[in-house]
Amino acid sequence: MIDRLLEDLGGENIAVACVYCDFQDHEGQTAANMVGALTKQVVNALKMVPPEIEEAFKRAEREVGGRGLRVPETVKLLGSALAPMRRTFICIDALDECSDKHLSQLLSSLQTVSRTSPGVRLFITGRPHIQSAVEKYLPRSVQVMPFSLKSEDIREYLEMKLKHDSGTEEMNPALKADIMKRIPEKIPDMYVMANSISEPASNR
Amino acid sequence: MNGSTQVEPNATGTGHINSFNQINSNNTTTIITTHADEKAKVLNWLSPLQPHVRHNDVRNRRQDGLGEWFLQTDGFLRWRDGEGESGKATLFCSGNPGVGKTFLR
Repeated sequence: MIDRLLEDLGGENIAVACVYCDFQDHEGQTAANMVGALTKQVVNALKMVPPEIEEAFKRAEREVGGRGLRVPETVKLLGSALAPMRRTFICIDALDECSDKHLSQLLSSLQTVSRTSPGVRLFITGRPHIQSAVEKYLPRSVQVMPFSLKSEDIREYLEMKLKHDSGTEEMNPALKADIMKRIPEKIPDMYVMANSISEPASNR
Repeated sequence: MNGSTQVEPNATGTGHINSFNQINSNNTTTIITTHADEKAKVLNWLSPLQPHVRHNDVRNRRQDGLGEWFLQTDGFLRWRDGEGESGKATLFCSGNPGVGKTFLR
């Protein structure tokens, strides 16, 4: 999606920044590091490092032992990076994998950012149960869309996989046909979800 | 790679790949750090996380066209094209693990 946004909208003053949450990396994925990672990507899209960030970096360098960034500072720096941008798409993937300890800090950071930087659009993915937390921190601004694979997607994916497998001894046209028939049948809930996607415009 | 054609050994021997210690005509050593090097330092300081590594991994395993319908829905396009205060600024894409949310292209 990130590549797609850039392809479709790419141009001056547009940035896309993403963070992939991972429950296997709770130590590294603090709210400060995640907000910092967003800042990093926006800065990278700018021609030069914004002076506020440059100054904060120099200040931190002068401090003996070098202190890590704290959440309020990173949020401020993200704001400075966003200022020259007309639009920035921030994507947070698998928010439910973020540890409880950092989830509220991350969401309240995103709340501040979306309030202070009107050019920001947030895209968050996660399991359905995390929705209430998202809505709590970003009231009135959340649109929810269930996502699932459509049957065409499943078929297409299987075909790709089977093509890679076709060299193996066990694979033959009959088995392939069987797989193509049975697997999509086994996942009927995905069809249901896919069909219930359309969100009425009146919800806005 | 042997960098000796680009980087001359300097008096103190502390030069590294991105910073050049140059001896100028007055024979004083001037450290010129490339702009890119300075930017890289700032970026590292901002966060140790490297989302682009994961992104490249996702990109390599992704099947083009997967979930294309989602990116064509009114809801998605409204979110993408809404400016400033117009429309909802946050899109929450909900789904259970394994349905391919990460691999949306």
